[in-house]
Amino acid sequence: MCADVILKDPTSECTCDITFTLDKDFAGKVYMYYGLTNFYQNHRRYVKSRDDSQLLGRLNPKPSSDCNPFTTTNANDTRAIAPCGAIANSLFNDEIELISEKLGQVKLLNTGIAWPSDKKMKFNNPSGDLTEAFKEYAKPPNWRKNVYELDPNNPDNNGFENEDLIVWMRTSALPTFRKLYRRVDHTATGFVQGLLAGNYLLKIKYNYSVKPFDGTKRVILSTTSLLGGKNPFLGIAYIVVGSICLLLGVLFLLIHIKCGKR
Amino acid sequence: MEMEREAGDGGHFENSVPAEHAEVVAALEMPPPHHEAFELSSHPPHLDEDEQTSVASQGGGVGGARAARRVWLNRTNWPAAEQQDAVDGTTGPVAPQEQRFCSNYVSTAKYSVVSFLPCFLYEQFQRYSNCFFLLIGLLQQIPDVSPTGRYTTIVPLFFILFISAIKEIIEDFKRHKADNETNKRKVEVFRSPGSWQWVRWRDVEVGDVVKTKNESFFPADMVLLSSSEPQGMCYIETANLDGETNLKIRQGLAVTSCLLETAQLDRFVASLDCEPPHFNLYDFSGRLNLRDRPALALGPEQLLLRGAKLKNTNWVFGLVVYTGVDTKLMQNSNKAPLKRSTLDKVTNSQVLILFGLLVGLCFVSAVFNAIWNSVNAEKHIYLAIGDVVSTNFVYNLLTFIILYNNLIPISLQVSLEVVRYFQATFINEDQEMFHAESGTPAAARTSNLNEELGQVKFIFTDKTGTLTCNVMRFKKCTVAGQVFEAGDQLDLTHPDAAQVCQFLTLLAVCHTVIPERDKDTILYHAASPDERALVEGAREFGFVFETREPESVTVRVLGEQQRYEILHVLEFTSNRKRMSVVVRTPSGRLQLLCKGADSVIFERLRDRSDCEITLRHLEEFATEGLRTLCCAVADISHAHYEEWKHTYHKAATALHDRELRLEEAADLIEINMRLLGATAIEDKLQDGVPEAIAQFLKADIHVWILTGDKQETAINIGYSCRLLTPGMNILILDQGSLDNTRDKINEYTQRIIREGSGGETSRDSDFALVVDGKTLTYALSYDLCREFLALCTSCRSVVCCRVSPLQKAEVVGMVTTHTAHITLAIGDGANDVAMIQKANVGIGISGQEGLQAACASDYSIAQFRFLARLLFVHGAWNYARMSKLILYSFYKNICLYVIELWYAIYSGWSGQILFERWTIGFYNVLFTAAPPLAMGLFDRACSADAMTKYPLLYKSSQLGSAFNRNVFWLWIFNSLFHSVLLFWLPLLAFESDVVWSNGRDGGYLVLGNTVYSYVVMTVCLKAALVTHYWTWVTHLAIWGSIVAWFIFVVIYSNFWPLVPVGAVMAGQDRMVFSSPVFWLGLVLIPFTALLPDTAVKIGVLWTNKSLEESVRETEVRNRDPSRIMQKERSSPVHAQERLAKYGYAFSQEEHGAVPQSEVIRAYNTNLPKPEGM
Repeated sequence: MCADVILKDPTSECTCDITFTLDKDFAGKVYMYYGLTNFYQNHRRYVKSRDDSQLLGRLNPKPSSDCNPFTTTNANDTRAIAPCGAIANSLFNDEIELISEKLGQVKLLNTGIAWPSDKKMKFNNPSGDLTEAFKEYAKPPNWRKNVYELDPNNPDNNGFENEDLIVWMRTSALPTFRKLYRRVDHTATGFVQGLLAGNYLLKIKYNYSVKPFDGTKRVILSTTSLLGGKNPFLGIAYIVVGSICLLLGVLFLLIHIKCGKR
Repeated sequence: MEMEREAGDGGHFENSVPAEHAEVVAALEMPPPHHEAFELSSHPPHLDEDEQTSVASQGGGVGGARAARRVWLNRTNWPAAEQQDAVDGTTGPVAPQEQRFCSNYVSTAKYSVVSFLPCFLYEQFQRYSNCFFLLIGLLQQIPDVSPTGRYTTIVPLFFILFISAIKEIIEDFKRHKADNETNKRKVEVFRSPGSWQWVRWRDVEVGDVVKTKNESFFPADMVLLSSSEPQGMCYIETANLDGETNLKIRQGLAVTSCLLETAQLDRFVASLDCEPPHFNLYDFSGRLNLRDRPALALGPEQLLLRGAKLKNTNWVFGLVVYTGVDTKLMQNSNKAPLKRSTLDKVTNSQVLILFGLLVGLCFVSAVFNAIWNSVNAEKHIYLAIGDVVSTNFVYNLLTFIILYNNLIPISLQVSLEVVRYFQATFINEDQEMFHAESGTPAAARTSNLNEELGQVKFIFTDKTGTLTCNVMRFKKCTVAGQVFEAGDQLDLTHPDAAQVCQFLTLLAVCHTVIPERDKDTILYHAASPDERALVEGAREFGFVFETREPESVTVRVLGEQQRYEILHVLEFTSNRKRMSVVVRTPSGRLQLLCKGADSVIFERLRDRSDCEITLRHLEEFATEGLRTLCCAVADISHAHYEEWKHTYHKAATALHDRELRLEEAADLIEINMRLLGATAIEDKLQDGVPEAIAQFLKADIHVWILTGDKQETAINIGYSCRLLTPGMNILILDQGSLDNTRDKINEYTQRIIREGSGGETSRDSDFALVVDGKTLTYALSYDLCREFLALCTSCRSVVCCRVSPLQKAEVVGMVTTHTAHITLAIGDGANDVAMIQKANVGIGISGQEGLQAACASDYSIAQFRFLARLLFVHGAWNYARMSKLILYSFYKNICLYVIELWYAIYSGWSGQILFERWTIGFYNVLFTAAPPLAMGLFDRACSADAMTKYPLLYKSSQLGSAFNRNVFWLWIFNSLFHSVLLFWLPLLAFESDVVWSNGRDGGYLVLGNTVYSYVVMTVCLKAALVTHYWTWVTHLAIWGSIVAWFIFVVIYSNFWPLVPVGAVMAGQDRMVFSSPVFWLGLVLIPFTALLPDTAVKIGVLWTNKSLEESVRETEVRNRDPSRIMQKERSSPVHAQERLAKYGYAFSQEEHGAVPQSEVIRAYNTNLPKPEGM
């Protein structure tokens, strides 16, 4: 299993293939999420381990002490880490591809997955050439690439402005969470209606180890409604509360008839 | 009559100086040994150390360590060589005084500019909550411990302290203003060398001679030198100091009583030695040293005290001996104690319990954190939590303490302060409590006790000046079976006209009043207000008392002058209960004129047969609460008189038991009298007093009268203000010893149990207890206290008479400490200060001139009747408001902050907060600050009219049903329930993380802000649910708070990166508000949370409606609530009204400085009085 391979040697490459079948068409926009369980993105020490000022592109040889112990690489090499902190260091870095049996490679978009406000207000690259700007800075220890290599093809999606990074940096509320990974490109032929029924293959380049903390990884393909993802809770809650109100109403009516006229 | 009243006159000492001066008397008769205290032969006065201490120890043993004081008058004129300090070779101008004394500046304020900060901080940090928040603020300074940043507690704390400080400054500023008003009063002062000048009270110094005019207060303690009256006499009213209504006589020494002019004063050189300041009002000893005469002793009869008022005397000259804090008045006043309301105390203790819970919670959380760490810290490498701060148990404990600290509402104190301030303003501004005649509004001098006013169970009231106006009026009289009212025309053709004339003549002749002609009118000066009322009453009928000469009085009887020769005055004492004069009528006959209590007069009548009708009238008068006196006359034969005169003279000059022998002598002549009639004097009650008392009784409040006056007077007032009703059993407790008192208490207790068991509970029994001051000392002693209290509380009302200021405080203290009930003391004079300070709530009557009581009080009102409104409206409202405010404050805080605990379950017990740190901080300040304030200021169950009309409504607040431990914890559980729903319902609704159609996921703060919105919504709606009375402010507060939160989110989400705070909030507005799930939840979740509350509220309203609710409902429907009230308790109707037996009352000083019989001999009102300049 890839998980064990990675556990032995974090730098080794391992690809995991998963096939699955869609029984019916996924009409409308389809989103691909990765889900992690037992991952405490909401741990106090983890949540604060970031430097929002650095992420605005204001590079500083001494990042905020909040980032400890991921401020500088180590005692000998005193280069500051960019992006610093435990959140950035633990960036999810599996690479997932979706291949349709009928139509071949499904084109996935890696932009538009982060909130525009985040991209605009919270994450900015330092001015000038990225490689040059980050020359004095080290990559987080767990990373395989440098921050300026996250998406070399798209300068708007590189460095701190990389949307995978931005999505990851928005820490989740619960230890079981999902994050938007890719959007299916519905402009491509065959995908205009959504994702059609049929067999699919998930090709996962396995980089991210969840075994040490007994976590699991999931890939979720989902369409959305007006209310977002599938969650029947609110509907049920409305029905239950409505019924209780009805009951109370009847009860009060009875009480009123019995002792109201005094 | 021997009038020379020098110290050398041994008889004088024996007469009127208390026993402790016996040593001095001995010194006078024998050649004095050197060390005697008053060494009269030594002059010039030269005190060595020995003597100084011995003078000091004379002063009641108070100031043994403190040196006696020497006061100089015209020191510069005293030959320097003879002065003590001149021996040291001191040259230069001689200072007016050799010692330095404190200034006459008097302050009742709490702080000065310098003491403000330490005192204020000390007071503030006596509140547990403030200490707690300071601790939290300090903890937050430890790096990496705080989950909420460094300043989120310290900043609000400073803000809150700042507001409290402003409130304190405003309140103290008012006190300073009142002090200044007194301190800046002007008085005329003669200061040597020189002449008269006007100075402010605060600039009056020891050694000044102050000229005090009629009806004004003495600015300091002074020794009386001379007065406008003969022989340096003057009248003073000390009601302010000891509560006695009658006037007292003071007399200057003979040597000084001739100092009537400036020139004489200027020439008068003397020094005065006296004891150091002490608090005993009735003790004073000193001596006056003159150059060329032996030193003279000074006693209390020369002392004029600050706080007393000059009466019936045009002016006096007084030498100031004690100033400022040295005055007896100030020595008696202790610093106003810091009073805290019961609500405050309960809250404080609940805070303590809550704090304990909080620590427990933190401990549990920290333990869970440790467990989580031990299992997970190694595994979750990405968290990188190997360092000390994140794994150390203590650090984590601190983290959780900071995290949960807001369970105790930091804003509560400031909300309370603000609400109290405004509640106090409502009291101050209440037009219903504004006394238009004196222009005095009610004033809340402290605001800490606003809600305490709603819980009063015992009212202790002073009599004079509080219940009564201290005005006596001749109201009625009965003569020859006919009742005459003041102002009736006399019918001289009536067959009984002769008896009526004789009766009125008696009123005009038989008294010790001094007339003073002021142009056309005659003013009467009397030591007894009753006598003055009688003389004035006689004048109205045309029997005008005009002139008093040493041996006679002149009365104008219906236009014709008649001169009555006064042969003897048989003085009034409380034993005798009567006073008589022996006169020679114009026609030369000898007559005894006598007036006194019915009981003593009737037994001395020659013929009691035709008194029936008079007795019946007397009973009528007594039932109306009038003070009655019977008048009788006896003709004396010359032979009898001559014989009696001899007996009397022997008695009057007796060395032993003189008083007793005089009484016996008087008994010999006060016989065979003929009843003329009886008078009825009204001790005028203040407006609305009986009505107010009736209301208090209806509200189940015990009303006790504590007065310095005599038993009869006190009982009399009890009747007239309807605290005592004719049907009541009056139990009188006036025993002379501890054992007798115990027996009597037991007897009465048995009697109440026996008689009260007939159906009625003991509390409703119709017994009234009248206790005498002397008996009270025994009853209040340690071993009788409990029995006595049990007896008192089983009586419907209690009247304590002849009680000293200290005893008043003891009685109040006894009830305050031994019962759990709230006590209220109300009074107007300095004698009430102690009890005002001792009671849970002290009320002062303001508007009259003496301000001591008002200054020491917590609230001051102009009239007793305003107390009803103060309690029933302001008190009950404030109590309900404060209760609601406190409960709600705890509710709202727990509702939000306990969510942090629920969240800890999901965040690995790491102490992560679900919300943004500053939004947490602002919760109390912005989003939920207004609803509790609106509640605390404007909420009310019933209107003011209903509250005053139906005193029964007061009972619920009196019982404290709105705020107690049970209610408190009920609210806490309610709050916990809400928080559970408010956390888990959104959690479930947001479980998929994706709540938008654009497929993006939110972070923890989207959930956080959603939950926060629901919390704000819920607590605001809860406020709406518990609000009884809606004003536009309430609407604004409740709906405005919700809107404020939404506006805040929009603004705060756009701070970053322009303002370097709240990076996590950036863009939250767009995320949260664009989610339909958020809006659907906003409707559903707060509604769901409040559904049980609403259901319970409706259920209770329908099944178990409280009195207030019923009244409120009818008010809302504009119906008359009286229908509901009808089924409430009706007062028991007495089958047979027993007749009142206590009509007689007469107030006059006994054992005064000068006996009344001598006072009248000193006057010749035909002679002009000195001007005093």
